[in-house]
Amino acid sequence: MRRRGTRPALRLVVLLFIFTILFASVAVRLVMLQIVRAAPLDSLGLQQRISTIELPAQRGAIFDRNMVPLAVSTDARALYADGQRLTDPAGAAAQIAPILGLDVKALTAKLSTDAGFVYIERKVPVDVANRVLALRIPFIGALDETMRTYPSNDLAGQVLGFVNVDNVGLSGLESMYNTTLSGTPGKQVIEHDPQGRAIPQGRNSIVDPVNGSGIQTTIDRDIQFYAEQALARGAHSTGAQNGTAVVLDSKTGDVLAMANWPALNPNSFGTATPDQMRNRTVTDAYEPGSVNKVITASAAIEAGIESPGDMMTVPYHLHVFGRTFNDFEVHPTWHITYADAIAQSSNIGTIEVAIKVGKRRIYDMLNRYGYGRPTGVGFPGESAGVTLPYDQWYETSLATIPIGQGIAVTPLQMAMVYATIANDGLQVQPRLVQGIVQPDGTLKEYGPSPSRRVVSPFVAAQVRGMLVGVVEDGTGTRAQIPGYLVAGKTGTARVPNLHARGYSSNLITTFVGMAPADDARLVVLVQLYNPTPRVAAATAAPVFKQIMQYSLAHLNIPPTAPLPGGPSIEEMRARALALPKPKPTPSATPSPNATPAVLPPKPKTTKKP
Amino acid sequence: MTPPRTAASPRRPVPAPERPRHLRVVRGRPAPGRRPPTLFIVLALTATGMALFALVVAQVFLGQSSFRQSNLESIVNQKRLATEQLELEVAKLASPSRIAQRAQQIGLVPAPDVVVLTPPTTRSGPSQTREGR
Repeated sequence: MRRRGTRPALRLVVLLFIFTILFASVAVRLVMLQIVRAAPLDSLGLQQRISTIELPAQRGAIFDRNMVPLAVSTDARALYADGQRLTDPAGAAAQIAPILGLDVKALTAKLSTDAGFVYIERKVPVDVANRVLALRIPFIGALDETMRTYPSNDLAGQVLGFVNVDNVGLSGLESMYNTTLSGTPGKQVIEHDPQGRAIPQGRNSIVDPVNGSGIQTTIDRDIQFYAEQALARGAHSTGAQNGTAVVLDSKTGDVLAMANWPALNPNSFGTATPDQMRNRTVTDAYEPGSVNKVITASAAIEAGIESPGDMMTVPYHLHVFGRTFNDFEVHPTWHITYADAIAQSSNIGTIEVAIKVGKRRIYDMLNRYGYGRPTGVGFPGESAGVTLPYDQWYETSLATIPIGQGIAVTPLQMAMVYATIANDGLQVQPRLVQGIVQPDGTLKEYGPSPSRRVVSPFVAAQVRGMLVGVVEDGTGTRAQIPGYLVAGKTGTARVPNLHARGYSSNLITTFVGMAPADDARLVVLVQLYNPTPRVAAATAAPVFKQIMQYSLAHLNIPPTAPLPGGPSIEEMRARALALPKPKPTPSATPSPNATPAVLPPKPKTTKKP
Repeated sequence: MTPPRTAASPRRPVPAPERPRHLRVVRGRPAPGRRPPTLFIVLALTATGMALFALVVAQVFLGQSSFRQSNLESIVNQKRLATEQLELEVAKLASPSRIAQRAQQIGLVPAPDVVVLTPPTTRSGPSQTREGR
């Protein structure tokens, strides 16, 4: 007998209804998941399964002019930990710290963080990182990266510059050529399971990185090293606070060396002072002192106002423009040639000539030699120097600027002036980089540096002859190099007060010169800050001699010595100083009264007590 | 209702009308000479099996090649790393500061001033010697 409410038909209807509801729910949910929210859910799933890893591009190397590597990049690893899931930070630190040379306590503290990702150490050499990974400590991993290394340590440190932890150039050539050196990073896309294992048939792809190009500099590693060593010895022996040296090829504009002391090791730039990081040869402008006298000489010879052999009367004192000027050392009134006045670095002789030449010509000559403008070398932070506009010259500027005070130039600018004289009046724009080394190893060389005529070959030869006199018989005798005819000039200048008018007791000594003077190719400038004794002749000149002597030998430049059957050294000297013959040019017309330069007679025979 | 016509009736000698040709049901065993479908099934299964086997073999070879490629890439990477490290080591060893330091360690000293010998010329007579000052 059937009970009420339990009829099969009714039960079936109820069951049908329940199943209908259930299936309808599933269907609705399916529609929601598969159709309505399909795109966002698909995207969310991909985000969870897909990882994109940046593949770092290797930074290009920096080479010297002979393709010796000065800065290279090598593969390295960044070791990291998942601090949230690392169960035993102290135990992990105790195992890892000895391998990496880290402090166990410090590493334990680092690993005990709640952060999901924490760097243990960056820029770890691959073999060291592999030793850490071989410990198989869970939640300790490694990422690929590259490490910048300067194999010669502090060689040309300020010139090369350095990079930060992300391999971005911060200073020097590293900053200047950052885009070229960096390359383009690639990326690897991996679809992985919840355990982080790659799914073989998943959405995996790789875009290879494009490595950066290298650069070939004009620096000669050996000359750079010798210049740095000589500068350091000179600075130590004189007690100088700092110093710079520049070696230039006057014919090509190539910078063969740019030395700064104290040196900078880019491998550990974090310990260096800001002063140490500057490449002073281009960033620091200073009052050059007597090395600036060649400007007045060039203007005077070009205008035909004065020639090296012209006699002049040079007292110790000269009162002009309401001020009294005097020479460096007390002396009786001299009756000497203009060449002698330059050889003895007479301020008074130069001021006398400058007054005859006039402001306008001196100002124009400063401009033509490149004062007040960057040299074009393009180095980051290059100073243009300080040259007053013509209409802002003081009355005394005509006396101070010719002797190198009241004007500021960088050591590179001053070296360029002498390179112009060495190169028969043609100024070649200096350069630090001569080509780009493509990632495939091919070299794309830059063309020759642009050049421009500053003074005529005749004017350059006349000035060069006067500079030979400085080294042969004047203040620069300590720059003489056996076998070579050397031309150069000493300069000792006081340093202006930074916070007040006038000058401080500090001074800067400079020697800049060229060799061999009969066919000058190399120009070397040496500058020392606050040396003792306080004269360039005894401080900068000997350093110049060392650097120039080594550079001449290193570059196989033959001595200025007579060959069997050839002219004597005296004849060669006379020819070097007299040639080339005057060729009038629109920009630089030689004086009709100018006479070929001759070796200046020794002062003691021309001075009158 | 019209009775259905039989195939042949001896009791009606009237000429049989031409019947339309169409399919008819064949009862009992199939006619001798027709191939049983088993062979076809076996052949199909064999072909499928061989195709599957070929696919598996291809997959294995692909996997092997992939593994070999991965292995070779790993070796190339290791060699590249080793080359980089060796080049860096050479650059460090060849650095002038290290060579200078090593030279000092073994007792080498800088050369004194260079002596330049001036050979005789036809014009200036006897030879001269200039030494460093």
